[in-house]
Amino acid sequence: MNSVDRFDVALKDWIVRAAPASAPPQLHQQAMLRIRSRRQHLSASAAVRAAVADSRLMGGLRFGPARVATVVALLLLAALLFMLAAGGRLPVRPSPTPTPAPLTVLVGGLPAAFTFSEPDAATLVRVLNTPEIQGFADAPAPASAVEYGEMQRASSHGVALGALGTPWVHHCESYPSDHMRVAPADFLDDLATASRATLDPIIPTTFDGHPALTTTIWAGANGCSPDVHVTHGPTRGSKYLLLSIPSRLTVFSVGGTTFVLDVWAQTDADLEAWLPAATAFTDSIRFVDASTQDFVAYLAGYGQELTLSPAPEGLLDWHPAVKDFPFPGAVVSAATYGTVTCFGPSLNCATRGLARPGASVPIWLVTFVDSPPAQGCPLWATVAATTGEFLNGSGPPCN
Amino acid sequence: MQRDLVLSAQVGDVDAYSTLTAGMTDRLFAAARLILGDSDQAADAVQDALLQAWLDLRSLRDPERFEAWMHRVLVRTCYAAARRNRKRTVVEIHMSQMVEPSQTDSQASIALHDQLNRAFTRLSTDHRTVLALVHYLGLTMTETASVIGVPLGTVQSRLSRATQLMRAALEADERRLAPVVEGVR
Repeated sequence: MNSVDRFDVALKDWIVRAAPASAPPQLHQQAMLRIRSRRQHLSASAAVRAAVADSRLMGGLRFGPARVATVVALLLLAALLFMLAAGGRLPVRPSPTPTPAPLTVLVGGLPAAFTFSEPDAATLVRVLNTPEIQGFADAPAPASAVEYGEMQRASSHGVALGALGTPWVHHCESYPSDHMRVAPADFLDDLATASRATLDPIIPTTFDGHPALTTTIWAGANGCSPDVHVTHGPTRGSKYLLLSIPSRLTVFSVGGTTFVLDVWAQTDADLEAWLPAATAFTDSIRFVDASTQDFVAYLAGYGQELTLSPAPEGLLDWHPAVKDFPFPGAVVSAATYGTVTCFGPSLNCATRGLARPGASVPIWLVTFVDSPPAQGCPLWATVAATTGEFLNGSGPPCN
Repeated sequence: MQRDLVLSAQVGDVDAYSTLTAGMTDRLFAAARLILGDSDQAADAVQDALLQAWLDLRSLRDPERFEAWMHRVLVRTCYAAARRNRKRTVVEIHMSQMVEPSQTDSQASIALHDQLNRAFTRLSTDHRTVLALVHYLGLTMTETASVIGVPLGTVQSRLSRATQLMRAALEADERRLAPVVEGVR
């Protein structure tokens, strides 16, 4: 046996010994408790699976760089001409420069967290809270609806904010395509090219201070695609937004993720009527700083979210709890009051995070200035608002 | 027997699924612990894998392949956990030692054990995953490639590289420790 063989044997022996002999007690039982409350997904059709497998084998459609550059240049030229002419069916205005907004709900499900002002429940309700799509509609989601597209069919109008993973759109050709590109201009280019949807001129604008592109797809202009899949191709669990109904799409990037804001209605007239109120709502959306984003992502991982509100009178001081945290001399940037609740009991609310199922935990979320010792880590701490006790926090070392 | 349990679970029988998975939880946890290097994260990953497998069970076309399919789901949830952990470090979560040596180990064996611990912890998730699947779960290279969803050649190169890295780390540790040992003498 040579030294290589001996080392392999020693390594294997060590790995087998290093592995724990048993799982923590109750692990399997806890998992089964979570499972009992969940319904299995329906089986996807074999035809779709075969089609997708075929597309992988065939490599799908590809566009050469010259053609892409030409299309992008033409789109930009069209947008410029459109702006110069100040034409267009509907005026597009940039959202206002970010200003302090009334913070109400802090949503951490998407890759970039945001706050929004709760709209009048008679106008708009949140019908979907997932890491791929935050969905709002004028009517509560029907019990049978799982995907946002189904909720769109059951409502008159609404707003959705979708985070692009590897998006996909139905092609006019008979086989599925590759994924779409995700940069905002590329995404819209692929949407128009692949599905032959007729987009209104693409207008540069801003959303919450981020550069954005916006366009409208009117009824019947969606080409070959009834929808656009934001997460991945049309297999199980793919999340989609309808294109077969009039939609104003605004596409922008935050923190490396591209988002699609979809304001939609069932008819062209409905969309025109809905847009002013919808814009008032979407203008309240504010993406949060890196530390707050990190905190809400942590909470969302355990099915919990933070709702912000004005702090009541008589709370204990939070300062002593974060003295010298996360390191001596750390400078506080903000302390925000809110309540943590569990929205997804199946996601370990029972043992992880801050709020157990059914409980509301009032906290101070304290964030810190990113100074040299922070090494670029998101810095935050939470303090129990009623007792003033330190709950948890994050800081260096940062992986 | 396993085939019947899978078929029952595929039509929504939770008890069958519980029986089916009860016997494999220890091994799933051990593999996850090796891949992630942290017991809390490993427990979360196993729970997520058990839940995800239940939700997607109807997509499993060959019941005989349940265990291999479960390994694939586990690797996916471990990678998701590793990505989450890269993004944040929450102070309530602490990395712990991989394994404590037993009292009967000789000093040399304890030293080797510590060196392997350190070297293994420094490996990437990709490399720890390949080592765990091949050396702990005993999968073949082809099975490992199928579980991870990469070509066979990639598995071979990752395994070779991971072994090289472990060896190099051990040698570096030995070089670093040598003067101290000599000084004690």
